[in-house]
Amino acid sequence: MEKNWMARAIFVFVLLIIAVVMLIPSLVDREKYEWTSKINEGINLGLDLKGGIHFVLSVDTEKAVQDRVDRRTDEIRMKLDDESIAYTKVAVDTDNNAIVIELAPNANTEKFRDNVVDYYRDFRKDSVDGDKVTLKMRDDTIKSIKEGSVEQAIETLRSRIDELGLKEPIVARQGDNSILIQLPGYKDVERARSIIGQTAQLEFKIAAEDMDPLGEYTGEVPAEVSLVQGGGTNTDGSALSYKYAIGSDRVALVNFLSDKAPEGTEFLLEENKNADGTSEYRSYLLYKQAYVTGDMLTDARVSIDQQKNKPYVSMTFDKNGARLFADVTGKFIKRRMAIVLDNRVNSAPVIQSKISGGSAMITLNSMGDYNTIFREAKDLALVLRAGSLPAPVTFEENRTVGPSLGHDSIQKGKMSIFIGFLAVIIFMILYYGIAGIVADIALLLNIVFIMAGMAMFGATLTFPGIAGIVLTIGMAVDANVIVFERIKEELRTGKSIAEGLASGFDKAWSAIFDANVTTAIAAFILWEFGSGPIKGFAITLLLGIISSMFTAIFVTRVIFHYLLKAGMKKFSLRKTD
Amino acid sequence: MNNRKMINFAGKFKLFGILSTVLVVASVVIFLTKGLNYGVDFAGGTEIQVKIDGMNTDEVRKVVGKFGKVDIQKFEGKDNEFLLRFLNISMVDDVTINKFIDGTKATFTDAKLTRKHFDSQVGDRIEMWFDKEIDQEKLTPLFAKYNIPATGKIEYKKVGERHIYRVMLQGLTNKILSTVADASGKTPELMRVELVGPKVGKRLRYSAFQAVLYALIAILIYIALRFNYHFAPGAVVALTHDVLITLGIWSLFGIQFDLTIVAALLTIVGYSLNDTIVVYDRIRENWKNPKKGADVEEKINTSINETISRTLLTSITTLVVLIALLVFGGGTIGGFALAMTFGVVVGTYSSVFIASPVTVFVEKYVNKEKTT
Repeated sequence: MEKNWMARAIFVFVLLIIAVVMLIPSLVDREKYEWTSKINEGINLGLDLKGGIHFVLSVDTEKAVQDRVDRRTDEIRMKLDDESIAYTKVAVDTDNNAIVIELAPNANTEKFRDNVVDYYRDFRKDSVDGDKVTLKMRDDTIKSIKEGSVEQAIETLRSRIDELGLKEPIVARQGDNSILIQLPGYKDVERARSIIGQTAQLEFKIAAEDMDPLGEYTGEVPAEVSLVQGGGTNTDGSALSYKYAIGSDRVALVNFLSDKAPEGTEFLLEENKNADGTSEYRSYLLYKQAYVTGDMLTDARVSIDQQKNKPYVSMTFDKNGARLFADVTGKFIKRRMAIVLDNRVNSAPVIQSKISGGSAMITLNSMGDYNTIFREAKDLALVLRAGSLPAPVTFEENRTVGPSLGHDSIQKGKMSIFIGFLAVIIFMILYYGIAGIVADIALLLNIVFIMAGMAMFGATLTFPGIAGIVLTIGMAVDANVIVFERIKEELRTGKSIAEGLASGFDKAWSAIFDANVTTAIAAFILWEFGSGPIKGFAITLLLGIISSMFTAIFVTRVIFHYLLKAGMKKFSLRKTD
Repeated sequence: MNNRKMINFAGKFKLFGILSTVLVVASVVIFLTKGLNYGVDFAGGTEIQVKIDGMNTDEVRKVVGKFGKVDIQKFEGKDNEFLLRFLNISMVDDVTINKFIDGTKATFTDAKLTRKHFDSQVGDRIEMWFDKEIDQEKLTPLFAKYNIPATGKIEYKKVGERHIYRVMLQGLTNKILSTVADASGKTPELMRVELVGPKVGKRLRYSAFQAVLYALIAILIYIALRFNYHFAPGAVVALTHDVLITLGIWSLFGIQFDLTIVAALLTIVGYSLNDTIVVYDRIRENWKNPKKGADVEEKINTSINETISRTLLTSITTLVVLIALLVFGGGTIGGFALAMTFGVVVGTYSSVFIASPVTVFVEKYVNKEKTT
C-alpha cells in the first residue's frame, strides 16, 4: 500500500501543475504574451461581464413556407391558363400548406396530371374529391424550406455584422428557428438593431465595365489589396478593359474602395471561399440602380443540361419582372449582370442573349467537377429563392450591458468570492482545527481546478457563473464535513486515528457520491434546457461538483496520510473531542 | 462521548408535519392570489438600468411614464441608479401606426399605398410602398400629428415602379435616454438593457418549467435505483414541499422571478436532495443493524441524530457564503442569494422533518409485512 500513496501524491501534483499551466493565458496579458494562446484561449467573459449586446432573433419559417405555397398557387393558375386546362377555382389552404384545385367537368385530366401534378414535385396529390384535387406540400420540402430560410438568415446576418467590424462577434443558431447574436464590446443598440433588422434585398445590377476608376487610380495601394487587369465585352462587341481589386482582408478592401466609385456606381465585393476555409474577395463596379429585384422572382431551382450533363440554375419571374428582365438583358447583352444579395455580389454572369418569356438560366463558370458545380448551383438557387422572399426575422430578446456595469460586476464577483471563501476557511479552521486546514487546502485546489477546467473547455464565465463558483465553495466543504463527522463518530467507538480515518473516508463515500450525482443531474438539466446566463451557471456548478469530489476526498485523504506519517496524534485540535 | 444525547426527532414528526402542511397551504394560497413577480425574462418587456443624476424616483416616473406602464426601482445604496421596467418593447402600438397610415393615405391622394409594414416586436421602422414618388416635406408634419416617434430619417428607394419609404423610428431605450437628458440637463449613463419579446417570455417560461420538471423526474429515478423505491416518496414529498414553500416565500416578498431565479430553484432542489440523501444513506446503512433501533421509527431517529451535526454544519457554511453574496454581490446576484437563502433553510428542514417521516410512514403502513 505504501507506494500507492506516493503515486497518489504525485498524481495530485501533476494535476495541479497542469491546472496552473492551463490558467496562464487567463492570468496574463494575452496580447503581450502571444505564446500563451497555444495553451488555450483563456476563460471567456460573458457579455454580462465585459459589456456588449446580445440579441436573439427568430426566423418566421412558417411564413417562408406559406409564401412558397402562395407562389405555387399563382403559378399553377397560370399554368392551367397556358395549357388551356379548364378549371373553376384554384385556392390556397393555408392551414395545411395545400392547394385546392377545382377542375371544370370538361377538363383534360391527363394534361392536368402531366403538367401540374407530376410537374410540381414539391407537392403531392393528397386527395381527389370529384373534380376537386388537393395538392399538399411534401413534408421534406417544408422541412428544407424552413431549414434553408434559417441557414440563409444566418448567412445574411453574418455578413451584415461583418460590416460593424467587431472583434469576435457570434452568430449562431439556437434551437429550431432562433438565431443568437452576440456583439461583445458594442453598445449602440439602435444602430445594431437597424443593421440587423433590415429586410434582405436581392437585386440584379449591371456591372459598370465601361468605367475604370481603378485603372486610372495612381495613388498608393495598400499591401493587403492587389489590382488585377480584367476585361469584358461591350454590347457592341468591342472589348472592355478595366482593373478590379482582390484581397483577403475585407476591411482593407472596403476602406480602399470607399471613395473610388464614380457617381451613380458603387463597389461591391464577391466572396470566394478557398479550400482551407479562408476567403478571397473580388470587387465589382456596379451601377447603383437595381433593374430587377428579388420580389419579382417567383422561383429558382437547379436543372441539368442533358446534352452537356452540366447543372445550371433556372429562375422564373413574375409578369412585371419578366418584362423588366427582358428590357435589361436586351439592353446590356454581352455585359455582366451581378446578382447582389444584401449588398454582396453572389455571382456576376455574362448576359448571353436577351431573355424574354420570364425565365432565365444561369450557367456556372466553375472549372470543378460535376458535384462541385451541382453544389454551387444549389447554393445559388438557395440564395435566389431566399433573397426573393426572405423569411422575416423578428427580435425576441435583447440584452445589453454597458462596459461600466460589466466592470462593476467583475469587481463585485471577485469581492463576494473572496469574502465567501475567507469566511468558510476561517469557519473550518475554527471548527476542525488541523483537519480544517486540510479541508481549506482542498478548497483552494478546488477553485484552481474549476478555473482551469473553464479555461480548458473554453467555457464562458458569466455573473451567475460566479455565483455558481461561490456556491460550490459552500457545498464543496460539505463533502469534507461529511467525512470529518464520520471520522469523529468512528473515533468515538474507540478506533485508532489511522483506523478512524480509513473507515470514515470509506463509509462517507456513498453519501457523498449520491449527493453529488443528484446535484449533477440538476446542473446537467439546467445546462441542457437553460439559456445564456443559466448555462454559465450550470457549467461552473458541474465543474465544481467533479472537482470538489476529487479534492475533498482524494486530495484530503492523501494529505491526512502524510500527516499521520508525520506523527499526527489527534484528528482535531478542538478540545471537545 | 459515546452516549451523546439522542434527540427525539421522530416524536416531533407530527408537530412538524402539521406546521409544514400549514406552510404549504399558505404558500399555495399566496402563490395563487399574489402570483409571482415575473421579470422581463418571463413577462416580456424592457428593463433598463440607468444612472440618472439629479432626479428622484417621482421625477423619473413623470418623465418616462408616458412611454408605457413603468415600474421604477431605485438601487439600494446608490441613489442615482434606477431600474425601469416597461411591459412594452416598442414605443408605438399598431393602433397609432394605423392612424398614421390612414392619415398618410388621406394626405397623398394621388399616390397609391401598395404595401405597409410595421412590426411592433421590432418597432424601429414603418415601411410604406407607393406607386408614385411622394413629397417627403408633406410627410414629415404627419409624425407630430399622429404621435410617431420618428428619428427624422426617411430612407427612400426606388425599385422598378415602386417607391419605398422607410420611416425610421426611435427605439424605446434611445427615446428614454434623450428625454431624461432633456429633463435633467445631464446625459444619463446606460448600464444595462434587457428586452424580451412576449413570445420569448412565454417560451422561456415553458422551458424553465420543463427544466424543473425534468430535473425532478431524473433525480427521483436515480434515488429509486440507488436506494429503494420506499425512499422515493419521501424525497418527492420533501422536494414538492421545498419548491412550494420557496415559491410562496418569493411570492410573498415579491422577489423578481427571472431566469436566474429558476437556476436558484433548481439549485435548491439539488441542495435539499443533497441533505435528504445524506440522511437516507445513513438509514440505508443502519437498516440491517439491530443496535441502531428496534423499529423503523427508531432506526430513522438514530440516523437523523447521527447526521444532524453534518446537516447543520453544511447549512451553516452554505449560508455563510450566501450571505457574502447577498451583501457584496449586489443587483442580480443579491436577488439570487436571497432566493437561495430561503431555499437552503427550507431544504435543510425538510430533509429531517419531511423526507424521513414520510419514509417512516411508507414503511409502517404501506409496507408493513416486510419490516415487522
